Amino acid sequence: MHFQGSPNMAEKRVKLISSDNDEFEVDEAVAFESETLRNMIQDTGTNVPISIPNVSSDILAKVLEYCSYHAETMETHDDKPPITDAQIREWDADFVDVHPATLYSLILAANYLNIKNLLDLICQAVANNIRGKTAVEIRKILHIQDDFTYEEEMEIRRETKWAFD
Amino acid sequence: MGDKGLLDGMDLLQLGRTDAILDVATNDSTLSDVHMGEALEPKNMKEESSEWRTEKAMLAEDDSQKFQADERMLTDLPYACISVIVSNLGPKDVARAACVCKVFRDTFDSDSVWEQLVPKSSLKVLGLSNDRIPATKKEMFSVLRPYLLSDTLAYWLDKDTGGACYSLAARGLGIVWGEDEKYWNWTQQSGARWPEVARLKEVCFFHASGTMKCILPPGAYTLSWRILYRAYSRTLDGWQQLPVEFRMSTTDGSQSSISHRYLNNRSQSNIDDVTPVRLVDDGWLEFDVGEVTIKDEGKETSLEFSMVEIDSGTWKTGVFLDGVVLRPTSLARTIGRYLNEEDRSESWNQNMPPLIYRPSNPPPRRGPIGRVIPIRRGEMRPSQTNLPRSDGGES
Repeated sequence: MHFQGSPNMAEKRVKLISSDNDEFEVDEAVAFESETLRNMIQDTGTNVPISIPNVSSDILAKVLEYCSYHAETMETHDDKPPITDAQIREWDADFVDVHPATLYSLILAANYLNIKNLLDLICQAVANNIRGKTAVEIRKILHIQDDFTYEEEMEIRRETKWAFD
Repeated sequence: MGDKGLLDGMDLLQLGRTDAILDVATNDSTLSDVHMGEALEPKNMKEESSEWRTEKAMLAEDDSQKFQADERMLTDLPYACISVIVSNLGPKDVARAACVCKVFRDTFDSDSVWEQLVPKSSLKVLGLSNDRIPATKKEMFSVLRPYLLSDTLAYWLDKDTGGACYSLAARGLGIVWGEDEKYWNWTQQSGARWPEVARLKEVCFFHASGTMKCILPPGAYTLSWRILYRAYSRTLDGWQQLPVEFRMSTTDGSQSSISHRYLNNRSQSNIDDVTPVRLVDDGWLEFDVGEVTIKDEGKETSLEFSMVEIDSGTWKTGVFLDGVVLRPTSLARTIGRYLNEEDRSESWNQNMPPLIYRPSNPPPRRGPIGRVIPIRRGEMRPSQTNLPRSDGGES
């Protein structure tokens, strides 16, 4: 799979290998969105493929989609109008509109790869699904297993009663 | 009622339970009594527990709630990520999330989350009034709903946003002639935040002012006067000639604002600096008289403000004062709705309950079944005949 970051600049390409042994090739600028990859590239250069053993292919593809879009928004082209903040917000909103399990995988990947903006974006998306909702609704939307015993649930309900007034 | 933000920390004051609030700050058992009224009702634990289990079983049947074996779960996330999620939430939603699962409950119990939610300045505010600093931030948060710094000054954190707010009661204002029963008296009024509000009987020289010292996190804060009157009613009289002047400034003079508004909501078109007004609960209005920007969290800011109409020489009536509230501007904007020019075509608070004079001191006498006995007319209206009807009627 190939991701385009900056077609204008003949840049170095970086090879990444997912946990399912798929190879991804991206521009260095795209990989640099990740602090972790930036450090690795600075240590080992771009000749050796970088293996990312705890991120699966589908999630890595999604992460790189995010990185290449956001690397692109940083660039200015003479022939194209710059991407507006509103457009970026819209793109981001579409990006996080996925199953909660995918959100959690993305959080883990963003955390490991140290992509702060992506981590913040997804954590905010999860938080948006909590805001103003009841426990039952939150469990359903965010696919969270209820792990309370009756006593535990009664105790936390009592402690948080003020939030339900 | 029901508007976002109306159910902020001042509910207790609304009930007039100032004693209860003071107890909240010092006595944990009272805290639970106040907030956990439901828990006190005797219930059959066994029955409730079995209901709970049935409910759980039904939810488990729901196909959309079936979990795949290899599916990533919230519980797979490291604590650092969970706390990033929670850092996007206000106090109320952190508490609601705590009821979802153990992962969120643990963040609710963690001091680091509350450290973000409870501003550093809160400690300082409490330190000013009380030596007892609660052991954890979470405990402190429960204390801050609301906290009486004095008989007339309250401090609280907004439950939705965590924003720090102050309120000064009408009793804490300097009202010229305020202690003279002939001109002003003190009463209870539904929708008021404080147990006692100042009711204007009749005055020519309308001058109310106050000062407030506050310690707040950096940001923009709006000061609002809480005022009640019935628009287009004969009880509201004497305000037609000149607008009321609202002033607010920091005591050091570095920030100040001035604005004007005709109280009866007639056309404000000949005023350049119209005071924005929001209609909040039970017909109460909040006049946003100015904004102050706080830069230094550690520093005390002193505010001075006034509401004045002394130039027209008319006798003015029909106004209740509940005091002033200082809130983050972003929060103030969400409370109630702004009155605009269209609202003057019809009486915008026509449906508000009649303004009934209920003296707060002495307390209302109660009949054998606890009913408030109306006070005889002679008692509430001394001999003047030109005074408005005390029930706010329009006869």
